Amino acid sequence: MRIDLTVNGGSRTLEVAVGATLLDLLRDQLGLTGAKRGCDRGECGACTVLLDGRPALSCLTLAVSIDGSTVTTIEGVGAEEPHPLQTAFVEHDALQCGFCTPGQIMAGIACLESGASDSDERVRAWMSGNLCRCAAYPQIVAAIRSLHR
Amino acid sequence: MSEPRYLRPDAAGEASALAAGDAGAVFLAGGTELVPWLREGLRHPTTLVDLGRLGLDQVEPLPDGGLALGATARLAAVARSELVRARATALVEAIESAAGPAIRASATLGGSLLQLPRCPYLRGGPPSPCELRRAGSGCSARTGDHRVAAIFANEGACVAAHPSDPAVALAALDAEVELLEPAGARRLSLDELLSPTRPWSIGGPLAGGGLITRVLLPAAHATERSAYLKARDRASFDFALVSCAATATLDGGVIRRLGVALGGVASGPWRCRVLEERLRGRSPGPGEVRDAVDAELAAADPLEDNRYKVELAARLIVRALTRVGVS
Repeated sequence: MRIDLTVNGGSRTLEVAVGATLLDLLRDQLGLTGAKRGCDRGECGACTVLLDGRPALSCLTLAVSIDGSTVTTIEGVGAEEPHPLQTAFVEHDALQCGFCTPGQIMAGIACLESGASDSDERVRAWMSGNLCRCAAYPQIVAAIRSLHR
Repeated sequence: MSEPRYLRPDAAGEASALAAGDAGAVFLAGGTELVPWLREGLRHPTTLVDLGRLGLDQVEPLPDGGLALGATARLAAVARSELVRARATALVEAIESAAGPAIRASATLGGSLLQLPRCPYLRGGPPSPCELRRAGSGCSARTGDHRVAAIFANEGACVAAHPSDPAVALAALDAEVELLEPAGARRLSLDELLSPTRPWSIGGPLAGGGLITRVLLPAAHATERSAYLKARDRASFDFALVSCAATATLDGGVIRRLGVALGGVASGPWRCRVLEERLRGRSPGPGEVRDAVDAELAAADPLEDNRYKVELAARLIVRALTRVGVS
């Protein structure tokens, strides 16, 4: 199947298998390996991207179903200089191994844009689908909260 | 497995006809449930019928005062809708308690109703016998890990509880499901679509064809207080151990109408009709409420390791009734 996508600002026409997920497409066809294949079953959030501006788990999204959509991955964030949330993650020491961080940043950006960043409790609930095995959770919450407007 | 065929019809009638004429067809909407089915080998479709271009994603008021929720409306969009927020608190709370924001932004209302069980023996667990994977093989949960299983109507082959939060709120709110079949459109109550006493099947309740086009909220509950409470192991991003939706009309403390449904206890939302019948027309105190709750739960048939769900359900019902002004 042929689909048209806008990926990180660039238009792409892609041939995709019907069973291929957006994560397969990003990592294996486009070489965009920022979104991570953690659980590959929607439980860890490491593959989170923005799909038409909303957060999406790329491992649970069939590529054929998003023909015409706009996808933003971590590679499309802070390409010139770090996104404010990336800077906040560094300042708050919100990562250790970094494997989950691309997904955390994408989910965190969506959290800030949704307005759900107005309390620690709401940020924790919003981010609860993004696991961090290094358990940097308090710092992740603090980094997101620091940018709440 | 060979690659399934992919079709993206522009009209609901076309989608319904495609599925009805193809035993290997499965509908695709958000994908958050379908992709795990494919990966875990629960379904082997030869055709995927994508519902994304049918325009069934709207929330619209009905002439009779009811509200129509499109079957492919994303859960997040339903919960954000001012029309829904103004009249169906239980549904908003149920959606906001389901999964996480990324899944809610993709998953659709219709898809939420058609989820398969989250039983560990069905989903990516060890290769243990599972009645849904292979009929007649036996249910590993019945004798094994069944902490999250059903407590009602457990005489069937599979003891899994239905995982949907929105379904429970919709059951309490007397929602109807509009179905499009080759023979035409018809409406089913939540009870008819997801009967809590029906046996699970891997093909789901609409295996014979049939496309959910809309979910209809009746006008009757538009001004009622409603609530959804959910008990689970994690504070968020987890399925219900037990949940309870309640909606009530009170008149000077007297219950004129009451809708109560439980989740996590049966193969579909468990509508508490015994309790509703007992409390209707009453202005009950805590003792009378608890008696009605116990009468409802007398039919429970828990397994060895999920007896805790009976008392958990009782307390959730009491709390949900308090939220809507009863006792």
